[in-house]
Amino acid sequence: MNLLRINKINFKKLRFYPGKSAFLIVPISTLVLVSVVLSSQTSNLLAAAEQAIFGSAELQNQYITLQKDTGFSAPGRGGAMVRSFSIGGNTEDTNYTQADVDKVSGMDNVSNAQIISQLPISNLKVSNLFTDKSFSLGSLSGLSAELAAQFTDQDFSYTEGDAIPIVINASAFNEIYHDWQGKTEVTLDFRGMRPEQNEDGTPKVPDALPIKNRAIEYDKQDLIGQEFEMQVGGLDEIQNYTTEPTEAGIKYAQLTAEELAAKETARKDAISPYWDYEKIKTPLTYKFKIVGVIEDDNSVSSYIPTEFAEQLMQEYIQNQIDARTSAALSADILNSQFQGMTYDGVELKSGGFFAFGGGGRAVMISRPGGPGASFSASDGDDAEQYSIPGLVVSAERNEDNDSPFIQAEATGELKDADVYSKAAKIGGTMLVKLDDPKNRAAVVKALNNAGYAYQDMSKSDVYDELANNLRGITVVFTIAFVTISIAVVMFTMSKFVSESKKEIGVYRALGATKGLILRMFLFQAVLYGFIAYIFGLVTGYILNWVVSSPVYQWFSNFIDRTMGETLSVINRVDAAVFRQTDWQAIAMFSALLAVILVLIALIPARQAANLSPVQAIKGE
Amino acid sequence: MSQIIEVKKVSKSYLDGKRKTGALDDVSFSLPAGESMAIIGPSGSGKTTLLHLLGGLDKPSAGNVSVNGQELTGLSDKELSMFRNQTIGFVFQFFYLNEYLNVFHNIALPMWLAGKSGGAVDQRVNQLIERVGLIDRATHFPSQLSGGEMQRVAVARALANEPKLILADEPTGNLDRDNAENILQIFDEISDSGVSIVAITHDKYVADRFDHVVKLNKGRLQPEAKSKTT
Ligand SMILES: Nc1ncnc2c1ncn2[C@@H]1O[C@H](COP(=O)(O)OP(=O)(O)OP(=O)(O)O)[C@@H](O)[C@H]1O
Ligand SMILES: [Mg+2]
Repeated sequence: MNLLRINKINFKKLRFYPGKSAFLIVPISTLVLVSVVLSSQTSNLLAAAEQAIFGSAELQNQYITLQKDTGFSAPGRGGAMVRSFSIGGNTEDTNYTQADVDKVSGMDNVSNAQIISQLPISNLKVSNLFTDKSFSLGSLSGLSAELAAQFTDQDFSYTEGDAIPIVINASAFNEIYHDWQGKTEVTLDFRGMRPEQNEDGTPKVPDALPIKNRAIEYDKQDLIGQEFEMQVGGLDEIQNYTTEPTEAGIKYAQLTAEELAAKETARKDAISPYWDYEKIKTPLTYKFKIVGVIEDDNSVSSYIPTEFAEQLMQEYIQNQIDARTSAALSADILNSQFQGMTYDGVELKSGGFFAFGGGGRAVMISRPGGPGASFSASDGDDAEQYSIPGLVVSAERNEDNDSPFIQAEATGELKDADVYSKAAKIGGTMLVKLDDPKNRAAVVKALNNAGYAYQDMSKSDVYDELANNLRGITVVFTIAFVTISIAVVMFTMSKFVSESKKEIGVYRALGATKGLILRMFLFQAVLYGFIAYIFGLVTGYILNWVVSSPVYQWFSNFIDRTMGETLSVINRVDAAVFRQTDWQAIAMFSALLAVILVLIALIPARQAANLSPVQAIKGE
Repeated sequence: MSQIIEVKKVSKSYLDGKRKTGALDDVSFSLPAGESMAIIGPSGSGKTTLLHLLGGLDKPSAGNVSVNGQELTGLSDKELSMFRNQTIGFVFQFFYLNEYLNVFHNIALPMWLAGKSGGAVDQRVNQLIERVGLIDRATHFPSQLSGGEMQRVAVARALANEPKLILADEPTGNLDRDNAENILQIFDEISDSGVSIVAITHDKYVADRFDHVVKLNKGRLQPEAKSKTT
């Protein structure tokens, strides 16, 4: 009897005993189905993880952030606050200059270097990103698209008329609020007071302080793609309280409505002769689109495209020039009544006429625990000075004095809206891009040799953990696959044989040889196994598609939970990766199944062949 | 006239652990080709054992069995299988059809086992189906047939490869009178066409229809007086 006939007969048996055959077919096809999905998704996850993790790390490896060692680098959130004071120094110890940029960009394997230079704008207010909560950006810097790629995987180019891409620094998500607890005056006594500390070592804000701030809660993924408006410039809101030093500490006192109105009038009276008051008071409004979120305790800067930064500065200054009346502004009036940016022929600085370095106005980092920052530079000066947005004055360049707090004399008004583009950019941070992440070690070495201290960190832990887990799952499943399929084939085929004894006897009586009996049972296992295999393969292939989307979701969440906390830009993996089928692993499982089917089915098949015909016919 | 069966001093005993059960004891007889023989005897006397020895399903403990001039004792499994397939046709008391094959395929099975297929098989099967009167039952499954019909299918199957000898173990034991008569008539026709038949029966009336009757008693053979009217 030929193989075709044997298979035909076995197929008839399958149709006649579907229940019994299901004992073999269902478990085997389930195993095959699971093996298709599991092995595919395992290798898809590994591939995705490799792409996402090493891709992201690789992406990050292409960048180096150099930071001037300020000597104040306290770890944790407090560090940013401390640095906000130290960036004021106008020395090479605290700032990188164009010379550094030239030196670093000239190094082998470095493709780009840029100083992060904060725009000298004092009001950057955002009120429509979070419902009912407004905040101000700590600082804004221009960044080239090439260097921005480490913070965002989205388009970072500026197109006129479109929302401007911004990589926003989450440290800005902080709202300031007043809490006078029903009182009009609050006096803080600092005598002998040891500030209590938070867990991370930052001093606790005394509860009594009436001006408080709190972090705004946000979801990084939700923010990406959101648009918001930013009010740039405009006059400061008039402070509705006064602070006064007492012997023991500070006294905070709320202003009455009349006092507030009087202050407003005084300001209007002072400014109106020289500027169109409404025009200079009204901020410029720009629409931004968040393309990246930086969550990094070591930086406060948000980034916008360089071209737009120049345009913004130009418009910011031009707005002031346009608001000017024809009345002349003498150096005396400038020095005594107004504050603005200073240009000494080299650098454009802000923060009144104090020569802060590198656009370093006294950035108020509104973080919990930074109450000290609320002392503004103008405090202690009895004559009221008004900060005029976009005002630029020329100043003497004081070459030999390094102190950041030396007041510069204004020599006159500078009516040049393009002054920012002409000014040299300096800053405490320099971003460096490498031509190839492979050369990172060499560049790090060259940087250190050139005196730019820099230390590297590794990011492969997440991958190792995931890979180990997946490998564990694969090993466990392979063992399960082998044992379960052996058990299933053994059990069902033995059952078939023992329930077919009479049939075996009849076959033998009709002239079947031992070999034929063996082949009949062997090929029964192979045929049923093959049907189960095809069924499992097809359903597994389909199911693999079906599960690809939840697996992708899970993976994205996993990456966000792990990598997302340390890296600003993650190498996103396409969902299609999870629709891949791992044919190599499937081939391995198919081979395993084929071997198991034949080898294990041989045992009951041999028993069947060796039955004595007489006993078989009696059903013994 | 040549002998289809020659049994010489055959003994068969089963070893059941340490106990030895004698089933046949020094049995000798022969049957001329084309003739029929009934084996009678009480239960446990060794009738089925003898039939199995004749069909090459089992081997004697002592003595020789030749069928159709072929000495069975020395044959290999393959040769014995071939012998059963080509020379013998078995009919059992409980029919032993394959429940997953229809009537047509049940009858074709011995031919498939012989390696035959195609038109020749179909032709032969149809011829046999007609001969046992089951033309409208060809595609039915055993579970859809009556006992008599099933036994007719079994007889047709036994005849598939044109055997020389039909071995039937109580072929009518499970049938009513009419159905038994039907089978016996087919046997008569087979016998008339020159095929030898050995059948076991408990029924004296059935036994009388055969050319010869032998009686087994406790494994020993006793010739039985028989009057065959022609
Ligand atoms: N496999 C075996 N092992 C042990 N003893 C057996 C075996 N097969 C048959 N016997 C014994 O051999 C003897 C003859 O059995 P056999 O089946 O030939 O009797 P039988 O004449 O066909 O009886 P019945 O009319 O009941 O079918 C009996 O005593 C039986 O118990
Ligand atoms: Mg019997």
